[in-house]
Amino acid sequence: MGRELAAALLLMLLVLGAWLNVACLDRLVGTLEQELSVSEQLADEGDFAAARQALDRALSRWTRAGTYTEIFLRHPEIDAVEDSFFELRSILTEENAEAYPSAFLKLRYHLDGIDRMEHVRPGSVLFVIFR
Amino acid sequence: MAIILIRTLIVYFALLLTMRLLGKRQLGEMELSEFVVAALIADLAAHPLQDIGIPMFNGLLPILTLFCCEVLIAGLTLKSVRLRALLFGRPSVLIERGRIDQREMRRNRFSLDELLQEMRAQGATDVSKVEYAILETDGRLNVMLYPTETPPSAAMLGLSAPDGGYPSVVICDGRVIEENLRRCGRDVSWLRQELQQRRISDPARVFLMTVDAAGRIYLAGKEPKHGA
Repeated sequence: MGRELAAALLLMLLVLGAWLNVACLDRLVGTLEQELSVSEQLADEGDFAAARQALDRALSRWTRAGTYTEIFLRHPEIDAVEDSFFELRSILTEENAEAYPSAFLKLRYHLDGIDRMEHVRPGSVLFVIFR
Repeated sequence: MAIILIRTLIVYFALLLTMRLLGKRQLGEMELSEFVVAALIADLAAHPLQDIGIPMFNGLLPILTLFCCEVLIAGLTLKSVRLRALLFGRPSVLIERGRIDQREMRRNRFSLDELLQEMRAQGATDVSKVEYAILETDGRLNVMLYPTETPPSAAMLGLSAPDGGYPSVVICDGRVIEENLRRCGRDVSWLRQELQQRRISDPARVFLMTVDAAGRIYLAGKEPKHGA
């Protein structure tokens, strides 16, 4: 009976861990979204230097979460987010007013994708099954 | 390359530990859930080995989850006959008192060819001599002949057969197993005495030595290595 109790406990811990993982990812993505919003607003106001600094803060936060992301996220997803960050940074450095809205959209799309995939929904479960 | 090497080692030992904790049943005849777990675990464990873009955790987490499920299912089925029957089914009697139950065979999708094949594997060639043939839940067919067709035992013939008990291995590939020696009520000095009687000075020169409860000894010395 001891082994079964240990297995049940381990399973509950794994479920709890999964829930904590989702909460942690929500917090990370939520914080990054806020900082991206600040950056985009500054870019809308024409202050590209400040927008780039705000973006750098978001990038720094993403980099600091590197231990977590490298353990729990697929590397192609990490690469996609980082590519989007650097692409957007480059656009803000060039002060390209036409390109930055789509670049912000692209980065948000990748961040949302990571977050959505970890949430338990029919779409995320079935997508994995049918892929 | 180093990452794949390290991941392979991690997954290998994780699988070894998991299968060890799951017990001997996984290695022998498997029930349905055990077969599912064995098949899944092997496939899931291979994914992070093939693609280093997949986090290691994505390979270990399914193994842990399947381990937990299997232990829980095994524990619950041990306690509940109904659950056991639901998950593993019940044994099917395909031959009863010499009569083939064709309905049971159809229900289990067991063909006559398979029945005869399994019977032959157990040394039974004549269906008329089979009293029972039972298809177990793990897929094995157990064949029981009529008592008149089975070899008589010593008890049936009124004979007394010597009982030597189970022979214990006391030397295995040159290594003395003292625990088994103690179990048979012997010790190392007795062992050395026996070896000396057989002109063997060192237990390391013995490949296998067994002793049964009646004191009968089987001894095989090590063969010289090639070129020695």
